[in-house]
Order: sequence, then C-alpha cells, then structure tokens
Amino acid sequence: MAQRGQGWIAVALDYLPLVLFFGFFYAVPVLYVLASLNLAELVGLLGDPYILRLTGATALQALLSTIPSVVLAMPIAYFLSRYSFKWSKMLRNLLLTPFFVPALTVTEGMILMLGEKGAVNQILEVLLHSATPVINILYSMDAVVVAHVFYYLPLAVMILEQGFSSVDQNLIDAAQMSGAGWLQSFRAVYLSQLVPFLSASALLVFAFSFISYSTPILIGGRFSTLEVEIYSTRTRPVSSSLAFIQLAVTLLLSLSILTLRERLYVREEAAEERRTVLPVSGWQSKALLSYSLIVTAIELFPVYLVLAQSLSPSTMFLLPSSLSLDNFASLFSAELGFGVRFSDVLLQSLAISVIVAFSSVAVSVFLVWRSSKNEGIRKITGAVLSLPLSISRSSLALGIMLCYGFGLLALYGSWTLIVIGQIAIVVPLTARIIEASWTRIGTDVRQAAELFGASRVFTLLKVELPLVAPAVLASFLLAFSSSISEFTMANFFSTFNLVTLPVSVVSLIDLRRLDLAAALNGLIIIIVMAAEVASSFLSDEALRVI
Amino acid sequence: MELELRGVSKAYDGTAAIADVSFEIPSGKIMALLGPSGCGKTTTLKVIAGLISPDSGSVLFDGRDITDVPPASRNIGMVFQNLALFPNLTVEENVAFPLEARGRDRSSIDARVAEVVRLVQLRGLEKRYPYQLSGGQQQRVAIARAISADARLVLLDEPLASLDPALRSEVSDVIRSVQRELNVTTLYVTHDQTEAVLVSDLLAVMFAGKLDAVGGTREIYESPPTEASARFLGATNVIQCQIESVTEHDVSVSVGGETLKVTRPRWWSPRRGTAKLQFRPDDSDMTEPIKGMVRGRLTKLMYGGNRLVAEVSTDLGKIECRGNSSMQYDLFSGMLGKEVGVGVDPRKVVLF
Repeated sequence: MAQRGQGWIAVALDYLPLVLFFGFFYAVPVLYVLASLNLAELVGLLGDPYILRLTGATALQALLSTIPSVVLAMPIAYFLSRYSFKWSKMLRNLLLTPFFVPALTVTEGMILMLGEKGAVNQILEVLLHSATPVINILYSMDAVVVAHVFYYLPLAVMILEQGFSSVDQNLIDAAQMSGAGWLQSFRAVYLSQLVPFLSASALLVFAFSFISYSTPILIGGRFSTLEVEIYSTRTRPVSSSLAFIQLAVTLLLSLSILTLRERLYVREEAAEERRTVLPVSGWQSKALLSYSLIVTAIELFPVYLVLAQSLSPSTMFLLPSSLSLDNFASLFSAELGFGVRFSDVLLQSLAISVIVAFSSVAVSVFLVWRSSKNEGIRKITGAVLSLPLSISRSSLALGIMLCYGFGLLALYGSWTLIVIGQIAIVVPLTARIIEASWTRIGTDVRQAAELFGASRVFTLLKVELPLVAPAVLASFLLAFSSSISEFTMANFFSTFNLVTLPVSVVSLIDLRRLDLAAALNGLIIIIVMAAEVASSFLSDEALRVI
Repeated sequence: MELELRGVSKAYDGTAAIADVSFEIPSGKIMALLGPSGCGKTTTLKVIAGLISPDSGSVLFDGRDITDVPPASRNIGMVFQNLALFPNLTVEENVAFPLEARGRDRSSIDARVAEVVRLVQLRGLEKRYPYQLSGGQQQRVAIARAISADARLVLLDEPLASLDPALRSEVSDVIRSVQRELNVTTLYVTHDQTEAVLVSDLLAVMFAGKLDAVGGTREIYESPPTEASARFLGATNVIQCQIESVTEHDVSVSVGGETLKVTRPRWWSPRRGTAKLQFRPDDSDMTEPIKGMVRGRLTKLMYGGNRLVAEVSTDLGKIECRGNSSMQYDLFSGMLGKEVGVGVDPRKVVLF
C-alpha cells in the first residue's frame, strides 16, 4: 500500500487474527498452566527419582521407536524414489495406510497381533509345538515401541523418499564414471545430502513417540510416559509441573524440526526437476522390491486384523472364522457409557467433527487471508502455525481445562471444550493446506485486483476463495477426519454422557470387548480413509501437511 | 491526462532500485521505458501504479500529487508482465472486473465490456477462460481489462515478452491502435529496443536505476545523448575523433586524417579536443579507399539474406557496415582482405 506513515495500523490489523488465534488457543491456556505452577514443587520434581525415571523412560521408548523406524524405512524410501513399476503408486499408498488410519486402530491391531491369544502366538505355537503363548510383550514398553514402529515407519519413508529424490542422479553417474563403486558413490553422494532428511525424519518420529498418548494408555501396561502422567494427575496440582517439563521438551523438539524444515523445502523444490526413475530390473532392485513388499504386508497386518475382527467373531491363523456384520449390529445395542447408546456417540462425534471442521477452515481462511498480503506476516504465521506440530497435547489440554474448563469460561462438561481443543490442533494443519494453495495465486493477480479498484473483501470473494476452493474443501475433509479420530482432547474432556467414537473404542478395549472395538474402529477407518482419499484428490498439499 | 515523475527514488535493503527518476508524458502520448533486465523499469511502473511506495520524490497526475493515493483510487489500467489474468473468471468477467470492483451498474458494465471486447478483437471468445486462449488472445484480454474502466493512464509491463515473434507484431498493432483510438496516456516498459521504437512516441532509456536518455523516440534513436543509450538502442560504431571547429549548426571533426562536417547534436555541449563519434552500421557503407572517411582492411563479410554485414579493421578500431542487398555481397566478396573505405552520412553522425 502506498500510504506513507499510516502503514503500521494496517500492518497491526493484519497481525491481529494471528495474535488472537495463538493467544486464545495456545498462549492463554499455557499461561494458566504456568500460573498454577508451584515453583518449590517444580524444583522438587526435577530431582525426584520417579519423575527422572519417567522422563528417562519416555525418552528411551521414543529413541527405541525412532531407530528401527528410520533404518527399516531407508531401503523402501530409496526404492520408491529411484524405481518405478506398474504398481508402485499402489505400493506407496498401501505402505502409508497405517500412518493415515487413527493411531487407535494400529494399537488395537497390536492387541490382536501380540496378545496371548493373538495372531503371532497362534502361528508360533503351531510352528514351535508350544502349548503356552510364545511371546508375551503386550502391556509393556516393548509393545509401545513396536506399535510406534508400525505407525511411524511410513512417516519416515515419506520424508526419506523426498530426501533420496532430492539427490541429483547426475552426481551418482558422475561418481560412478569417475571409477567409484556403488557403495562408494552412495556414501559420497547420498549420505551427505541425506543428512537433513535423516535428521528430520528421526526428530519427527522421536517427537511424535515422545508425545504418544493413546498407545501407552492402551498397551503400555504399567509403563507410563510424561504425556499419560499429565492426564492421570490432571486433577492434582502436580500436573502443571509435569506439563511444564513436557512443554519445555516438546517446544525444543518443535523448534528443531521447524529449523530443519526450512532447509528441506529449498531442497525439495530443487529436486522436482531432475528426478529420474528407473525400471525394476537387476538383482538390486528386485531385492529392494521384495523387501518393500514384505514390510508393507507386515505394516498392513494390524489394520487387517482389526478389519477381520470387525467382520467376524474370531480369527484363526489370520483368517476370520466366518464373515458377518453382527459386530456392527451389536454396536447399536451396546451401552458405551452411562446410558449412552452407540447412536448418541455417533451423532455427538459427527456433530463435534463437523463443527470443528467448519470452525478450523473458517479460522484458517481468515488467518491465511490476512497474512497473504505481507511477506513478513506470512512467514511469521507459517512459523507460528508449525510450532504446535509436536507440542505436548496433554499439556495443552490441561491448560485448556484449567483456563476454559474452570477458570475463564467454566465450560467443563460441555462439548465446546472438545471443540476448542481440537480446533487448536487442527488449524495448524488446515491453514498450511490452504496457505500452500493461496501462495500459488501469485502477487501479481492480487496486485491487479487492487489496482483495478477491488477492495480486499471483493478480491477475497471474487478471486481468492474460488481459486483456493479445492484446498478449502480438502482441508475441511482433513479437519473432519482428524477430529473424528482425535483422542487426547476428547479423552480429557469427555464425561459420563459426553463420549466420542475414539473414547468409546478405548472403553470397549478396557472392557475386553475387542469385537465391538474392532467394529467401531472399522467404522472410524472407513470415515477417515474416505475423507482423506477425497481430500488428497482435491489438493496435493493435503498429503504434505506433515 | 499528463503524468509526471519528480525525483522518484526507491531502495531495497540499502541498494537503490531507482534513483532520482524524473520524466513527463504529455496527455495522450505513449512512452516506452527501455532498459536491460533489473534496471528498475518495473519498480518505476509499480511506483506509478501505487503498488510500491517511493522513498522520496513524487508522482503527479495533471499536476496533482498522487504519491500517497492508494492504487485503487488512481484509476490506472495495467497489463502485468505475466498478465495476472484471473484464472477463475471468463474473458468477459475479467474485463468486467474493474467495473464491478468500482460498483458500476450491470447495464453499463455489459455495454462497456462489449465495446472493449470489440476494440481488442476478442468477439466470440467472451465465455472462454484464460486457459482456453492462445498467448496472443490472453494478452488482448489483459489489455481489455486494463482499459475497461476508462483508465486515465495505462501501464504495460513487458507485454510482448512471453509471445512468439510472429505474435508480437500482431499484439503491438492492437496496443497501438487501442491507444490511438482511446487517446489514453500510456507507459510501455520493455527491454526490447525494436519493440520500444516501433510502439512509442517518446522514449526513456534506463540503466541501473537511473534515466540515461529521455525524449522523442526518433530523436533518441537517431541522436542518442550518451554512448550507453546509443549502444543499447542497437548495433553502433564508436570511434575517436578530434574537434576542429564548431558553428551554430555544424561541427568539423578530424577522423583518421580526414575532415568531416557533421550536424551539431542538440544535447552536445561545444568543446575542443578529443571526442567520440558514433554512427550506426546502417548509415555507413563501403567505398573505394580513396572516397572513404576512414580506410581499413575488409576482414569479415557475412551474407544475411536481405542484408550484408561487413567488418572493416581500421587504425581507430573495428567498424561494422551494413548493406541491404545480395548484389553488394557479390561486389565485395572479391575484396576480402583488401583495403576499402568506409563512408558515412554526416547527418547521421553523433558526437559524445
């Protein structure tokens, strides 16, 4: 804008939506956590052996989850980035499935797979002629780690595939023409260029495992994490101190990821043009293909077990004993809480998710719109919205509970609290999808509209919104699917009669009604996958939000 | 409407994008702002449009300072470098955009859109989207949109840059005819000197953020005030000479021992001693050694279809001459390596 001297008012107004969003959904709740801190208690906690053990165990399981996820992902990522065959797109989509289904599904899959009478033991008992269960790792840290590897290996593949694709094939050719062997050229060319992507994938898997919540609750047994402990102690003052520690650690992790991501984007853009794909031939590529197929099959195993369980009273040697929809039918007669019917839960969940999706998209469009005109605000908005990616959800939920549940608004017991918590989590995702599409409109188009006398609102309605409509719809679907499968906020704020689908799944698993839990999980999978597939058709960005 | 820029400067991170730029475009005239990439042409354009705020200086429309007036209130039409057509709107919706944004009533919008679409020869394509049009057609939509709301000033930012050579003359014809019909003051930014000379009444040449030459197009082309402008406007020869005497209309110079009487350039300030003499290859020809202004050896002869390009090595440096027929090629091909003379039309010579 040309006005000299009065520009700062316009700039301040452009910052206002971001300040209001961040203030309401993050800063005020976190301030409530800080305000309820007892310093003496915090200092005491830092030297408390139990807390030290808890923090150490949380970090250890995150580390143990990270190493196999990244290492096992590398050959697949290399294969997908370099080779192409008829079904390669299908292979990629199948492999990524576990990451896009709700974590609860994979966790229930773990119970069906690793339990005493689970699929793995059924097979091992026959193979080893054993009368007792061969493995017994369910309800321990080991089970949590295995579940995390299942869940986050696809994420590592996604990031590392971008890394491998970013390496210029000409450099490999140059290295090999200079006489370097396969291993030598791999070391010289790939490793140096891969380091940022390796670090990013490792950091993300570590951060997500560190704040994992539903998995340790369901299959951790006596093993607990900081995230779970914040929930368990939520009615006691000590919770704030734990949340403070967790917030500090996860903020640090988020900042590291954010710094790395800036570097990755530049490389990815450069990589788009020079990607070369080879056909599968020769023993190396065939070995990589076989490995990728085996890992994908194993990856899909838990999801398959849940779906098989949902369609059958029991499974034997991986196959359902008989196929029926009885479990789904039984859901309607089951009580999922105190006098709460399945239909109530379904309606409550759908209503909450529709409200969350609408609100998140509206907030995101407003945030992106106000930041779109000024490059500085755009960058700051992007950075601020990236921060919550791996921030502790339990701590945020605690803050929201203290502040809007009891302190400022006294909303505890109302569905509104779940909506507030989920909007806080979902907006950073939806805003990024919409922003990526908005950026492509181009400054010139916006300047043209301004020059031809259009107000900002006129330009928004006539040009910008129609152009980003597919991304808006995609982000609505993604927001809906994230909300309907969200567990942390829902669990924090659910009450006797306020229950969502994922909360019901956990109650059913606790009650050992794995058949009904599987049916419910199956239902969530169908809703979530349908929304995500539709979303990815509408916008390429929907898949890249992580 | 008359446009005037007074001492306009703009810097980014301490580096001047444009410095002390001043010029005027009289009402109804078309000026080409010519210069290499990154010289500050687009910045100048955006300052006039109000999309960039200058650090100092002012922009005046009909003598009124509009430096702080927002872009929307300036009533300017602009054709952007990459066109910036609204991809979600049809041809007629794009053309109607400035009218709708200014709240005109529907019937006057429809009438005006029809008129402008006829003017840029887009009839029959009104319902198409930009992606369904050829490059030349898209360009015309951009021109139509720029003029639809009776803009007082039209700015064109490299409007032909993205077009094939064949389409360029077609679109530049449209620009010229629309500009004449509407008699609208126009600023045309380009880095192509042929395009600039062909389209404009006035010419401004810009280097590194500063104006190097401003004036009538023919005047600047034929008698450029600086060596840099002379070179940028096309192939040129610059050789050393000695000033011998100066009258009101003529200057006598000595070139390589020969005395030549040349027309005194308007911007040239009289002085004695060494000067530079500039003439275009098109204004010089090869002669017998005895008749030439300068003598040298014919070192290169190139056949260029409808023209002939020759290079003569002289004591003063290399000189390029251009002839315009293949007959000359036959005539001179036997002279390669031999001594020739270079003649020049004294009225077409410029001194620096």
